[in-house]
Amino acid sequence: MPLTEAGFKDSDGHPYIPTLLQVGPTIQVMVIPPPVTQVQPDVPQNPSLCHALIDTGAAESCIDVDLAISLGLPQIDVITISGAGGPQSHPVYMCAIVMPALGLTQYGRFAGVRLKAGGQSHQVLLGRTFLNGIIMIYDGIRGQVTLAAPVLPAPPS
Amino acid sequence: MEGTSPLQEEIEAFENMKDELLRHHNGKFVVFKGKELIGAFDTFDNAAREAIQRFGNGPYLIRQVGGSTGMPLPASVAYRPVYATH
Repeated sequence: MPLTEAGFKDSDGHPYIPTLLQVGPTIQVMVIPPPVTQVQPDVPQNPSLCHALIDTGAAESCIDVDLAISLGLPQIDVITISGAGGPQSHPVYMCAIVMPALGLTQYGRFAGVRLKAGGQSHQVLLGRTFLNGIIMIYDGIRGQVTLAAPVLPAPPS
Repeated sequence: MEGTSPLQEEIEAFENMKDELLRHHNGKFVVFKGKELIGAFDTFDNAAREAIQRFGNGPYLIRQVGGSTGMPLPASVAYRPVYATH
């Protein structure tokens, strides 16, 4: 079963609790635009990795709108997001999220928000929908967050 | 981030069929291309793969029937402490 850590380590390789508390569970993902002619996403030879926050407090996922535009992600919907400034209409983009450490590729919908401009260190927020099929263990005592992607048996046909 | 939607036709078609969609496909992810309902799928991933196979990068609408069309700003974005320096 593929396993990975979503916490932080100090220079000696030990879990570092202060950064986990400040930043939150973070994994590296590839954001891949949907392919034009095939269903399986093209993983580029030298893909750029983004930091993604595993945001268990959110149902929906978000992406930095400037990143979405630079990657040419297709807009597939519109969503109204309510914040301190009242409700605002935001584009919803589609992309494939590749989690190399877990060997997972999953298409998802992402509300486009200004994460970087707002001082957010993550370019992607992964909401609860992305935890489908993943086991997540948050060990606040040791400062470790473990993600596992079990291979589930196929449903009976 | 106000702006015009490139999916106006698809969204109008979805709204026009909403009652019927709720009756027959509640909870499913539907794909609209123009005014046409392409299909209803159990997961977003399946809807996305069908849409890509048929229409590439779009435009098309993928929306969950009965799902929310609004959301609160995630707390991780809404509440970012910035401490005064003086």
